[in-house]
Amino acid sequence: MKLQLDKFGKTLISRELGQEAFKAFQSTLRGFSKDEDLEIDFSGILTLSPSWTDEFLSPLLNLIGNRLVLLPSDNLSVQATIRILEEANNRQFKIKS
Amino acid sequence: MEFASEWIESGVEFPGTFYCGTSSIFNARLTKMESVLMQMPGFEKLYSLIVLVTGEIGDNSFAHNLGKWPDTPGIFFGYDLNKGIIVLADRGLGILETLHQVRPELQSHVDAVKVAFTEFVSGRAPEKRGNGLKLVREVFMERPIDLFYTSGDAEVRLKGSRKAFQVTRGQRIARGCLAKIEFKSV
Repeated sequence: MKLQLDKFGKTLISRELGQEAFKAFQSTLRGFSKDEDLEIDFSGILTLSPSWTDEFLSPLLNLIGNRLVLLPSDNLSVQATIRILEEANNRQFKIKS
Repeated sequence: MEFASEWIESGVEFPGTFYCGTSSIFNARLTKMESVLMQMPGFEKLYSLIVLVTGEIGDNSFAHNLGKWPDTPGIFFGYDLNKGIIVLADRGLGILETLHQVRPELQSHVDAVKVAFTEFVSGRAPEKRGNGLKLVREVFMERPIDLFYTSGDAEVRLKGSRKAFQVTRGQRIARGCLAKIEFKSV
């Protein structure tokens, strides 16, 4: 399954909105097959911050582990945010090459 | 900058156009700034990092002072993109008082600001937070964007081509936090 992250907005900054997005995604996640990967597509995102992402992608990583797959992005804020979260969580995201 | 300094030092009022009383208002104004910045020549890629650091600093003010604002809630958020200046300020608890709740051994503003910018520690533990300012520091260290940041009497200056992260003790005491972000506009 592919998730277009810009469905939650193009500028994803605050923790509060990251938490809201994660709650809103729960109903979709319930229908998600255990054999399937969840691909996160960052295209369309203008700015992504570690606060928003820590409330959305970090709990997803804890829930589904390596089935969470990030698609590559040339957006500088996406790259910087992923890097700092990997460092903070001491855990690597799986990134599709 | 004067509006923000006078506000956090002595509560002098400033034009309402710079005031964000809630994080929703801040996010809306930040998005507006983003749409202008991304169209400026030379900022086609860099805009997202400038918005990221601005957003993290502003969001921190709301996240760490929620329900605890000593007097005026909300933040100052002003910018002049043609001059390459963004200023954020709050009259909140400040870094030392916020971190003191989880790191009681911290005694000075300088030590607290150093921890905030270099360690993964949150003033809202046990909530898992506290990565934003680390990334803010990394962005300023790696990119042609300058920062002046103060909280209490602690000051951080990341300026020029050979930046070194250092927290120094300044002459003035800032209530809450103040950040000035500067970059060269073409």
